[in-house]
Amino acid sequence: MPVIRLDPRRLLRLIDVKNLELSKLVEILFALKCECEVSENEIAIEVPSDRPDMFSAEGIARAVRLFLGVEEPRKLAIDRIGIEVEVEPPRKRPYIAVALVEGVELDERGLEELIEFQEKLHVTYGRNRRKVAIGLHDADKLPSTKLIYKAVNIDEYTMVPLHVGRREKIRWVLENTEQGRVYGLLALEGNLHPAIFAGSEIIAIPPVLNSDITRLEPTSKRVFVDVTGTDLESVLKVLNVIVNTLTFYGGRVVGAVIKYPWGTITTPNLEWRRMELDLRYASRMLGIELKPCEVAKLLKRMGYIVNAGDDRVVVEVPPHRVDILHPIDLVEDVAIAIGYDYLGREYLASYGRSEEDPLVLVERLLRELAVGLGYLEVNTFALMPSRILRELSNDFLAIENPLTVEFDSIRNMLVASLLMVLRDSQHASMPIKIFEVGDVVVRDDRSPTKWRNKTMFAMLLADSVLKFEDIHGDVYALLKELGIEPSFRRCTKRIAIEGRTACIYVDNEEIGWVGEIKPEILENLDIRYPVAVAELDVDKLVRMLWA
Amino acid sequence: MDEIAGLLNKPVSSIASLVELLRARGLVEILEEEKLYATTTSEGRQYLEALPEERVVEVLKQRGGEAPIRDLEQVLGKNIVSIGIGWAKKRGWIVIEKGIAKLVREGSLEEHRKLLSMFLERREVPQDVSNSDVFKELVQRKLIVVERVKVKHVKIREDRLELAKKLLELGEGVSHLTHELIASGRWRYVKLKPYNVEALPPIKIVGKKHPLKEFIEMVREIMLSLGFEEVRDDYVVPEFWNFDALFQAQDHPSRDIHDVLFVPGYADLSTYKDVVERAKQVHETGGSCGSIGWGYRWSYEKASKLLLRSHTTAVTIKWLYLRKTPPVRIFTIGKVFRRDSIDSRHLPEFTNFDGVVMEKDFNFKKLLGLLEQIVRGLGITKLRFKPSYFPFTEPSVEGYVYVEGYGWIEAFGAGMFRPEVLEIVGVKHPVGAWGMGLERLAMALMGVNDIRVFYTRDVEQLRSWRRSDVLRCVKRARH
Repeated sequence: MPVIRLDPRRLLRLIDVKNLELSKLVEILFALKCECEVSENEIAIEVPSDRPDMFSAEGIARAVRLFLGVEEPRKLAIDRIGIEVEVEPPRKRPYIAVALVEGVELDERGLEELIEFQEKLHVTYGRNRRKVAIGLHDADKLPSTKLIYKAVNIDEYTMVPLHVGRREKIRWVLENTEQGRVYGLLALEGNLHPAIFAGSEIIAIPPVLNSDITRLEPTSKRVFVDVTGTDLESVLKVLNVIVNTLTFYGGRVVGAVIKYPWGTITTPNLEWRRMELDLRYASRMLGIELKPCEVAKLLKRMGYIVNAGDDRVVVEVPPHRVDILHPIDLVEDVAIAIGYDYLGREYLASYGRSEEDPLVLVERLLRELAVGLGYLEVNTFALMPSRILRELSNDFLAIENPLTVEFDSIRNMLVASLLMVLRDSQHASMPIKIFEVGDVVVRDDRSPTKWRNKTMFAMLLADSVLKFEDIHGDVYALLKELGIEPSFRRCTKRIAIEGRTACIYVDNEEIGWVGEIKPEILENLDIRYPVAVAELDVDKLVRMLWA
Repeated sequence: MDEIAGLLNKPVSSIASLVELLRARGLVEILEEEKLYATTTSEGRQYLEALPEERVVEVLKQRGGEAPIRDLEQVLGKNIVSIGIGWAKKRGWIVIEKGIAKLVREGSLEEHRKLLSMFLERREVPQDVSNSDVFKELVQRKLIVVERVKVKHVKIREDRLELAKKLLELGEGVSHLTHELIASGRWRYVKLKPYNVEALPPIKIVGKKHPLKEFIEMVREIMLSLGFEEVRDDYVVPEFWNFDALFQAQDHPSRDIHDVLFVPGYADLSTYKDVVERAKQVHETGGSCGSIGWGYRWSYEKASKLLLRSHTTAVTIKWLYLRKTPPVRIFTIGKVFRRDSIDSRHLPEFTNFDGVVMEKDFNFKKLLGLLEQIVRGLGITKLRFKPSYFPFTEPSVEGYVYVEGYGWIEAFGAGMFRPEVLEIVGVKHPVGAWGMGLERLAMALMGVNDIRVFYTRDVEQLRSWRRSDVLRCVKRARH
C-alpha cells in the first residue's frame, strides 16, 4: 500500500473543518482504510492501493470532507474546449489524454506533494510508467494550445530538458538524464521516441521527462496535464484522478479535443457512471437490514450521488473512483460509512469439533515420540542455498529470480535442513539430537506442475564419537511405537557411508533410510563431527496406518 | 587397595585416584609392598602323584633293585626316565653302571608334591614357603612359576586418626547405593554419605517441541473446535491459483518478479479447463456476475507460469473450487514464500493461516464474528476492525489485536470473496475468507522481538527456549 507523506497543517487547512484535531483526523482516516503515523512535521498516511484518488492531500481532504458531511458530492463539467491534440500514435505508446485545470493553489509544500502524488500514480497505476505516465505543466507557459503527439527521431529533434536548462538532442536526454536512463527504453523503438509538441516546441517526451519550458512553479495557477499510455481506458481513468485532485480548489476545467486516426474524443471524460444497487443483495452481504434513504445518506458521505427507489437504488459513481467494478464495491462503501465497529458481530454456529487430518495425527505422533527419545525439534526454511543441495542430491527445484544465494532453491530432502542446523550449531554441547517434520518438493510427472510436496520426518544425531546403533535403535523404537515392524536392508545412498546405510522396509515398500553421513560430505559442509541420520516418508506412514 | 575395591565394588582405578586424593590431603599414607605369587605349571600338574625320580625308584624296586635304562624307558617313556634318572642320581638314590640303573636307597618327595598341589590356583606364597629349598627347587625346575606383584596398602596416618573418625561420623561412606549393595544386604555395613544436594546440578539437554509448531497446534485446535477441516496443497503452484483465480489482474504490481519467487516451467491447466475459461472471461469483461472486469487481454501462458505460493489463499481457493456445496468450513496452515530480504520483522518464507467459510446465508457480520471467535481462542480480547483493500475480497477488513505488553498489532486480513472470484471458481454462495501470518502473532504472544528466532539454526538458542514461554501463551488463551 502506498504511503503518502503530507504536511499535517496544510492537510488540516485543506480539510477546513473547525476544531478538527489531528488525533480525530487519524481516527477518521482509519475508518476510511488509511493507517497514519504522525510525527512533528509530517503525517505519513498508508492509503489503500485501490483508491488512487486519495494519493494526494487534496484527494484525502475531499474524501474526509464528504465523509464528515461538510461537502456534497458535486459533478464537474468541462468549462470549455481550449486545447487541440493531433495524434500520430507512437506504436509502443499509442494513447494520450490531456486536461487543463485553472485556479490551482499551490505553494512550496503543495507543489512537492503534487509531484509526490504524480510519482505514486506512476508506481502503482502506471506500473512504473510502463502502462501510464503523467506530465504536469504550467499551462501559462505553453508555447501553443495546438499540440501534436507523435514519435520523433531522437537524433534530429531537440528539447530543453527539465532542470537541465539548455537545449539538447532527445538522444542526449535519454542517455544522460537520470529519468532517461531508467525509463528511456520503455517507449523507444529504433531511434523513434514519443514526444508532445506545443506548436514546434517539444514539451515532453513521455514517459521520460518534461521540458523545462513549461516547468510547474509553486506559484502556478493553471496546470496542464498530459497522460500517455498503452491502454486508453487506464489513461482516461488516471487523468480523472488527477483532475479530481486539481479541481479541489474549485477552478474550472478546460477540455481538449484529441484527434486520433480512428476518431476524435474529448478529454477529460467527466461523466459519472450509473450503477444499480440491489438493497436485498447489500443487506444479505452485510448481514444487516438496509433502507433506501439510509443507504442514500451513507453513500453520499462516500462521494456518490444516489437516487433511492424502494428496494434498489441507482448510484452515480464519480469518474475518479476507478476501484468501482461491481455493486459489491458500493456495499463495502456502505459498510465503511456505517463503520465496521457498528455493524455488529455474529458468532458462527457450532457443528461440533472436526477431526484432525490423518497426516496431522501422524505428524503429532512422530513429534511426540522423537521428543520422548530426547530429540529437539527444529523449524527450518524450505528455501535453501543450491550450493548445499548440490552437495547432497540432484533434481531439486531452483528459483528463477532469487534475491540471495542463501534462498535460491527449495529442498528436496529434509536431512539437508538438519545438516545446515548442525553446521551452524557446532559450538553447542554434544550430543546434538534434532528432528523435524516438514515438507520437501520432489519431481512428480503426474502432477500438473510436475512437482509435488512430500511430507518427511528426519532425525539427526551428532557427537564426538558416534554410535550408529543409537539412531538405528531410535528409529526402530519409533516405528515400533507406531505399530510398524520394519526390516532394515543394506543399501546405498549418495550421502551415506557404504556399509553403514540401511533402507527401512515395511512389506517390501521402502519408507525411509538410516545411515552415517560420508566424511567428505561433512567436510564440504564444514561439519567436524560424525553424523548419523534417519529419514522417513510420512505420507507413506499415513497410508500404512490408515489402510 | 584391591581389597578396598572389592569391598566397595568399584574399579581399582577409581579407588586409586580417591586414595591419591586422601594422601594429598594428608589423611592417609600409602605403603608399597612386594608380594610373591606362585602357580603350578602344566608340567608340575603331571607330577602331583609322583615326581619322575620317584617313579624311576618305584620301577627299580619292582625289578629287584636294578634294570637296564632301556627297560625303564619302555615302561616310563624316554622323557620321564631322563629327568627321573638325573634327579635320582643327584639325590644319591641310584647309580648307573654300564647302562644299568641300580637302586642305592629309597626316598620320598612328599613336601614337593604338597607344594605342587598348593599352587594349583594362583596364590600368594607364604614367607616360610618361599624361603624353603623345596620351593626354590620346584621354581628352578619350572614346575612352579612365580611372579612378583607390588601391592599398595592404604593406611590412615597415625596423627590423623582422630580426624578420620570425625569424618566417618559426619557420614563419609558409600557414595552410591547400588543394586549390589541392596541385593547382598551389605548396605547394612556401609554408611551412605550425604550429597551436597544444595549445589547446582549439571545441565541436562531436554528434547522438546518447537515453539512455533506448538503455536500452530494451538491455532489448529481453535479451528477444529469451530468445526473447520484442515486442507493442504503444494508449494509449487501456477500463477493461476495464486492470483488469477483470485481476480488479481495479470499486470498487478504484486505479481511482479520483485515480489514473488518464480520457478522454471508452466503448469498444465487442462485439468481445470472450466475454471480457467471463466477466469479469462471475468478478467477481460467481468463475466456474467455484473462486474466490468479489468478490461485487458488475459494470458493463459502467464496464468500457467509456476511460482512458489505467496499466500495460502492459493490453497483455500482451489479447495473451494473442489467443494462447491455448502456448508464449507476449511482452513490451511502452511509455508508461503516472498521475494523479501530477512530482517527482524521480515522473512522470505513464513507461515500463513488461511480459511474460508461458505454458507448459504454467510455474510460480513458473521465473518467479523468468526474472526473475533478465532482471536478470542488465542486469548486476545481487544480487537479492532479497519476497512482495507485486497484484490479478491469486498468488503475487506484488517484486524488489529491488542496484546498486553506489546500493543496493537496488525493480525490479519479478511473479507468476503468478490463476486468475480466466486464466478471464477463456480461458487453460488457467499464466502468469507481470511489470512494471517502466524509468526508476527506468535512474536507478540510469546514476547519475541525478532522473527528470525523462530527459524534459528543455533541449537543452543533452541535449547534456551523455555516451554514456559509457550505455556504463558496457552495460559493466556485459557483465560
